[in-house]
Amino acid sequence: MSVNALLRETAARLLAEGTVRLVVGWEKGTLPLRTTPLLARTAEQADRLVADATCDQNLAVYLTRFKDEKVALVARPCEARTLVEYCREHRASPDRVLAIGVPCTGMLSRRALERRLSGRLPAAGRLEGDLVICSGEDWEERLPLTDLLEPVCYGCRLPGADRYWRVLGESRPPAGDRYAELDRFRQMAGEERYAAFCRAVERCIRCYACRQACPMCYCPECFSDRSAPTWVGSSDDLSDTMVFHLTRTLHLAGRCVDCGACVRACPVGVDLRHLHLRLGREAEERFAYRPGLDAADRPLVATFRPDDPEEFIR
Amino acid sequence: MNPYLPHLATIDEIIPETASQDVKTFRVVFADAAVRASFSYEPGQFAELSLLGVGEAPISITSSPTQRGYLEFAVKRAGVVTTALHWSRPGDHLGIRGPYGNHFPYREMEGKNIVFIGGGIGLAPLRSLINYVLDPSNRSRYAAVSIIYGARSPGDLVFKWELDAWQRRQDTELHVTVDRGDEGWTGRVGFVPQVLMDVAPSPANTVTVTCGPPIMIKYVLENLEKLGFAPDQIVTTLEMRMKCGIGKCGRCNIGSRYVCQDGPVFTYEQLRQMPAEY
Amino acid sequence: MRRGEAAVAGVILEHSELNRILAHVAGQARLWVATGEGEEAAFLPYRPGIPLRRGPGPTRRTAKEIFFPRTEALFTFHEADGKPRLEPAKVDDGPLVVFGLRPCDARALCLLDPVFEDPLWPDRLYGGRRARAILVGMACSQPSRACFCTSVGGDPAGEEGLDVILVALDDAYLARATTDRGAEWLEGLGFSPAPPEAEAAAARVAETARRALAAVPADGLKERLDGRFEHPVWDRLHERCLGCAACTYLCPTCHCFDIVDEGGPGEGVRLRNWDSCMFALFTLHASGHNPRMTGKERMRQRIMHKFNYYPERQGRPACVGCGRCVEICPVNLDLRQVIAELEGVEA
Ligand SMILES: Cc1cc2nc3c(=O)[nH]c(=O)nc-3n(C[C@H](O)[C@H](O)[C@H](O)COP(=O)(O)OP(=O)(O)OC[C@H]3O[C@@H](n4cnc5c(N)ncnc54)[C@H](O)[C@@H]3O)c2cc1C
Ligand code: SF4
Ligand code: SF4
Ligand code: SF4
Ligand code: SF4
Ligand code: FES
Repeated sequence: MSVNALLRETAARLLAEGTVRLVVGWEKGTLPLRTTPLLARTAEQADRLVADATCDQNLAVYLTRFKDEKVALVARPCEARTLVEYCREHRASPDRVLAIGVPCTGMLSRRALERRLSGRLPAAGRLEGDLVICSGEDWEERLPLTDLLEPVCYGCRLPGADRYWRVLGESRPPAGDRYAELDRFRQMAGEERYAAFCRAVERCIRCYACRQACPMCYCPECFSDRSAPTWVGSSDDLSDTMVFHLTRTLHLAGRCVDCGACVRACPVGVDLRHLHLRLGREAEERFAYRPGLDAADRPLVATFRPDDPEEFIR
Repeated sequence: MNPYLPHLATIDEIIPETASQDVKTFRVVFADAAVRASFSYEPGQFAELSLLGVGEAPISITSSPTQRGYLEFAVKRAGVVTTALHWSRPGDHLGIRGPYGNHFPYREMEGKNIVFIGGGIGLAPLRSLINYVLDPSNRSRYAAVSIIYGARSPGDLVFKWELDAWQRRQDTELHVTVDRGDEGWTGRVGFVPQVLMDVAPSPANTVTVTCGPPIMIKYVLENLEKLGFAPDQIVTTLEMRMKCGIGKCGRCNIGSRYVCQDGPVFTYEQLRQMPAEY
Repeated sequence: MRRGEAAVAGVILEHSELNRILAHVAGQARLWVATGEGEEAAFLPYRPGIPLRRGPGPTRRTAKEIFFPRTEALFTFHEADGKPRLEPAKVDDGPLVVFGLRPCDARALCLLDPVFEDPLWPDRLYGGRRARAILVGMACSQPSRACFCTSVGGDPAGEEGLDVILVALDDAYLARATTDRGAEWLEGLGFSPAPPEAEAAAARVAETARRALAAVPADGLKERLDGRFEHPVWDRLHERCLGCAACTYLCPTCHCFDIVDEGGPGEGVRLRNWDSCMFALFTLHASGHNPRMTGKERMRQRIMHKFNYYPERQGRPACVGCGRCVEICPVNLDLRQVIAELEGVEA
């Protein structure tokens, strides 16, 4: 049976049995090569579920929104890592959330595709095996999916399979160095790095799509919305926008699961993944802490060890 | 024209209203004599009060147009701007832009009995109309006037100095009530909607004007219907979050109506035709 | 201001001439041009050599930003001798030219005008920029896959709001003035009159574009939504929505804003910043009460404002079918689909 068929069957059964009231997954979207979240409450709706390389939202965001329902979450490694963090932060307990593990071999990057098509927007598109086939009125392109994967997919990490309630297939993300992008950024000279950061932040319109798409940004009132007192100005002032992004990065230190949802959500192409990677690597190298992987640990910033060398204070 | 530019004004006097001082009345005077002369408003309108560097808040003009030379605002401490206002002192400056919104239908009310029903700080917008109607130059154009006003406790009653003045008038009937009394309280105890039933005004040739907390309004409306008031005999004034006050910022609408322009005064008849999103 | 009787007929503008013309225009007016591709496409101040946008459909960022920027000072204040002084923001009503906007963006400005320039409280900050602006549009020869302008009263070669419209032919543009102001402007640039074939070719371009557009059932939507405020359709429509402001900030007709002060009591500025009805805090009262408590009420507001409330006040929908919100919604919550779903709404 295909993954989609297995998924639909599993979801339908969970709903029919009453094991869960809601299945959070994806269905085919309205634009070529896109999917949209599906909140399925009936077996009939569950029959629209799909899980493939065009699924690019992190579905775990919906867990903090449907707090009172028993939910099954269609989970790739991205969602699985988020679930691990959610358990750690008491956002979702395994007795409320079931994970249906679907195999993932990497997400199609809409940006990479757009670049590859140099601005042509496909009017139609589909995946066929390892090929992305897309076409416009008078053209068709058949491109290998492996050339068009999301940067976060390289070196993607999988939490232990015991996190899944049911695993429908094995994930085989593309190999690669997760920190390559960070290393590239760090190889630039100081001023260059700063200039690149400014260029990115200048484009930001503060629509907060990044924050809203991020499963780890679930604070009921974000610091950037605080008005009594105001923590960060809401104008287009560059330094305020920097403060927003840097503070957000800090709030995600040791929590960011590197799903890339924030980057994909941004309507104007602001990509600050390297900031999150920087703190992620810090957490890993200094504290052996890997967000989304080690369920037993307590949250990094809530952990105190008496034998901590505390080098940074001295 | 820059419709966001406030007129500067000075705080002339600050009157603490409630025992906890969470409501204060600010008497303010425009700095510019020309503005003082030209600023005219009608009962029920509001203005955007601002403290420079802090922000703006929409506040009903609680003084009556018959009071000349100054404006009064009764402000409850709620958030950033209102708290900062509470910290200010006589002589401090503030900004005022307005007047905004529609107003109570005081011309249409001529020749009629009026029943004012207020709760807590909700008396503030009503007060403008009450003092307008009770002004010697206007009083003869209105029939009987009665006022039902309540607050949670005696300490929460606002405009106490004026309640006394209204009480003393022969041409006005005043019923003051509190949800809970205290040792010193000899007046009525009970919720406003209940007092309304006790007073039982006749709907004949009568208009009621009401403002107060949502829960009070809900029961007042129910009881007015029981007393036979038709929806178009009931006038109320709404509160929505506002910024511009002039129908541009898109914040205050209920359905297709902008409360800052088409309101804040609506009849219950109008409200019933609007979505219940307030 | 519609074109008068004596208006010039179409003229031909050679591709190779464009840069010279733009440089010339930039010498006389503040000139904004559509530049960049994909998610970087936007209107920027002209500079020599700036790459003009080619891509299909509208720019990612809208032309509304020129007239209603994301952040704008309303006035500044400072204290002198213990007294505050206010300095209103300078009204910017100099000559302004916008080059390369799509017909939908120009129409969108016509929808913003009654909001900012209503006779009671005209907003000169917006109005000043609009006052002398010449909008030089570029008809769509290739709509984007998400465009649906013809379903909401627009057209890929629509003239509303434009002063001059350009149609890209094979090796040149056909330029036509659509207002007196546009005619005067175009005349000043001295082009040769277009041959009749050019007019015919331009008509074919527009027709091709029209045919490429998908239809969305927005006809009669205003009436269908009348009295449907409490309809169960709203219960689920919003569920996928993340509550960001991508769809409203990048919508050419959305105009919600916030007013905030920056700086201290001694010196500072009162700003207006874009705001969005999709944010949870948008309508939150100081008391904690919120008339639009959940995503349901907020999505309903966005849709109703565009397709019922605004039409109630101004007689037509506050959507020009540019498709931006469709392309950029991070969860692909597609307005066209919402409209289609609302088509089936019964009492
Ligand atoms: C037409 C009208 C008349 C009013 N009359 C009075 C009055 O006479 N006395 C009084 O004490 N209060 C009145 N209010 C309520 C008052 O405006 C709010 O309490 C006040 O805006 C809170 O501002 P803040 O800065 O202290 O609170 P914050 O929550 O910190 O406010 C931040 C901003 O939110 C907006 N805001 C927050 N809550 C409200 C609200 N409930 N209504 C409108 N805008 C809000 C304001 O723009 C304010 O600048 C009135 C409101 C309206 C709409
Ligand atoms: S910050 Fe971005 S990459 Fe990290 S968890 Fe949030 S959405 Fe995913
Ligand atoms: S999604 Fe992009 S534009 Fe929006 S706030 Fe985030 S970085 Fe800025
Ligand atoms: S862009 Fe999409 S997710 Fe964001 S507010 Fe709009 S509909 Fe919701
Ligand atoms: S609602 Fe969407 S399609 Fe309509 S004008 Fe706005 S962005 Fe364009
Ligand atoms: S307060 Fe801005 S539109 Fe009403």
